[in-house]
Amino acid sequence: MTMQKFPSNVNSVKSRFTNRFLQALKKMNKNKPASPSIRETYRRYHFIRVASYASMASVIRPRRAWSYATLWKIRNRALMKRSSRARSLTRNPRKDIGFEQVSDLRKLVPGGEEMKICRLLNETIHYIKCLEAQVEIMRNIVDHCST
Amino acid sequence: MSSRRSRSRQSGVSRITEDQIADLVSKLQQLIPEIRNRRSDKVSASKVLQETCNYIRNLHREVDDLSDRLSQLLETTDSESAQAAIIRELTNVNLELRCLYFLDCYSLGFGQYIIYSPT
Repeated sequence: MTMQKFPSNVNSVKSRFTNRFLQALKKMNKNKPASPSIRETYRRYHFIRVASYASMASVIRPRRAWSYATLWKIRNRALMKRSSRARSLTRNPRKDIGFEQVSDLRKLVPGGEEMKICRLLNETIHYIKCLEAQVEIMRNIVDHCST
Repeated sequence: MSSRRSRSRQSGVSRITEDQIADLVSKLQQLIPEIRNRRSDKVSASKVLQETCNYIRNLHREVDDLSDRLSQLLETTDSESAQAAIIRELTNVNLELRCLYFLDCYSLGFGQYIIYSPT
């Protein structure tokens, strides 16, 4: 399995993310309630946040472990809401070479709990690049909307 | 004797892995703005990982903050301008996507295989 370089096409990723994210925002705006309450505000905030991560992950699709893990987590959370809340099984933590920061990194990168260290570092690099792109585009949108 | 063989094989594997790890850590070092600006070659791997964790946490926090601002912007009753801006942005992006799709079809060599789905 060849490790894909990022960005094989940065602009394409950015454009596709922008497209999906804006579609999600447009869909959200359609169902606007008459009186905004605090709960409604929180729901919108939560929706936008999840939509941003989901949009980026779906643009990358299951090509990367972190995007697959993100999409899986989001879908599972939606399913778990309907059924009763099941406790997540605590698996044995992976033994690491040396650094304790690696365990912190495993918690931050989605899907990083059970990877080997080489793959974890590779995923981290790709994840950071995608996150930076996501933040940049969201900032652009906010600037656009504020004017 | 089998233990000696397995030990040498293990050290060989671990040597390759250590080189790979060092290479990946140096690539990470280039990404993190904290370390990149300091321009010192001697940054320990644990420092790089620590700064990576901090950087990722910062990025998550920025996403939260931007989502918050977006939700407030889209919530106001007269968010017609915001909605119009979104629709304008969407049409721009669609045009851009179509251009990119055609450009990439022509510019990609035989070695690449990127699957697009033009919306």
